[in-house]
Amino acid sequence: MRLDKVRKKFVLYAELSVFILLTVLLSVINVINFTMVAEDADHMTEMISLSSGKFFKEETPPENSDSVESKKERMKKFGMMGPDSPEMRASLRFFTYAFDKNGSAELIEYRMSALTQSDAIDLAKTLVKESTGWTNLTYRYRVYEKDKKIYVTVIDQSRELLPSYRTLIISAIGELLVLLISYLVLVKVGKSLFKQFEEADRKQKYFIANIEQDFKMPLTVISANTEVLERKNGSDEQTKAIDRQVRKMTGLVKDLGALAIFEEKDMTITDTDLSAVMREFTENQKQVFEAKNIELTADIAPDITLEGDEQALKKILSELAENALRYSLTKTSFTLRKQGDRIIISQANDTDLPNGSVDQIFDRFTTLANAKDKNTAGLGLSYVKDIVKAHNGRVSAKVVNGIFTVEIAL
Amino acid sequence: MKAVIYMNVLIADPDRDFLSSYKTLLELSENTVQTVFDGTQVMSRLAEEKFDAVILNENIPRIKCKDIVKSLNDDGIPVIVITQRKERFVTADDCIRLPFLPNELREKLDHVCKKRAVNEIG
Repeated sequence: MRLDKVRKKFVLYAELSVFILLTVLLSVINVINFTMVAEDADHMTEMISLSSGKFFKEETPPENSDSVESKKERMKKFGMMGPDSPEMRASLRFFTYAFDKNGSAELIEYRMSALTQSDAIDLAKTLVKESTGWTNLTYRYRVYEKDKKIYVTVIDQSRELLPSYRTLIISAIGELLVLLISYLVLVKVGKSLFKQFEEADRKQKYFIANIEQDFKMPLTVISANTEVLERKNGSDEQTKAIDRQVRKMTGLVKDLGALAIFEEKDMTITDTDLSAVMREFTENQKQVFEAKNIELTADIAPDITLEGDEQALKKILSELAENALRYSLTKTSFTLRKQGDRIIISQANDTDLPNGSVDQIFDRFTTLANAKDKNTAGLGLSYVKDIVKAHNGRVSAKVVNGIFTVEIAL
Repeated sequence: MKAVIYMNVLIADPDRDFLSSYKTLLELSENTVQTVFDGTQVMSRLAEEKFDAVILNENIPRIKCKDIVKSLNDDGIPVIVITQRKERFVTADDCIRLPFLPNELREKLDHVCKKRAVNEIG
């Protein structure tokens, strides 16, 4: 059913927007988190570089250094939690090697336990040509020149990174959980929400069927009695008016009855020779159109077949013809052709409507102002739309330079 | 001049307003019309009298419309069934769908009787 597809779409889009929203939010949080750890590490390595690669005392670096935030400022910002706090400084894990032109290494400072000194030298050697960055997942390094030597300082940030990694994992799990829960809720809410739509849709169909049921006998009786009155007492303005109105209503109700609501489940799918069906149809319609002084032409490509319900497809054609009779001025054409993978059925006629899209004609109970015969309920093309949709096709209608065209892509 | 056929018609329908309106209407055209509103009456009236045509509503109570149509077929009496599903009455001479205008029924009635007359003569 159509509404079922809409419901699935609703769940999909809602879920997608929750996903995008959460992903953006959590990504921003995590990126900020990691960037701040890197910034703190860079601040530390800068302090170390200012004290020539050595563990720095509280007095160093000089307060007037431009590149480093003054210690007071940072203390103000972070309080005792800041990276400059005595506790944090005391727990610094790092090493510095200095390399001279010949490449021989000199140990400047070593406050690590995870790496042996020889491993540390190897690591430092690989970093000589870099500037700053991450290595071995948790090490932040800085390479700088001093006294014609290249200093490599590597600082271990595993303790600082651990909370960030935890946050990352928690946010990933959290996102998955939220997605799962929102999916369950959406499916549940969607079902009850769409139940109302389905109910409304069903009611409308029921209503249409009822009008037909309840109106047909009264109209038949009224029209018969109107004629009885006319023949007994002669026709006058009043009986003529009744007759006109009854005829109009009879037309409307016939229209409703003929359009027993189309249900997808009623289709019987077969291999239908659309070319043959359409040729036969246009051949049969020629006289009908001629009687109304409308020239009918057909351009039908041969050997086009379609998996579909033959009766329903015939119904499409007859509704298109009804419509053409109602709106054509002097001529109408039917065409059938292939365009890529799709089969195109189109009906065109001359019109006095202005240019533009007239897709509203596919809505239920819509007739256009220029209809010649107004005794119609405006259901024909809505029915066409239902059939076409059930065949996974599309309908469109437009007016270009006085030519009205309905196109069906199947 | 158009040949006018005067007929003896039986109309069977549960709606009495329908019966009276069409009885009057067809009688105005010099036909004789009998009306009944249930299936048993149809059968008893058919036993009493010979009709040129029967107009029968599918919703006639007591006896199934299909059975009545079958018995009319056996007797060779033309029948027009008032039905929304004409595929259910393939043996009926014609079917008409509600709502209809007087002319539509008259045309069908004329057509059915002429066809029968031609067949009998031919």
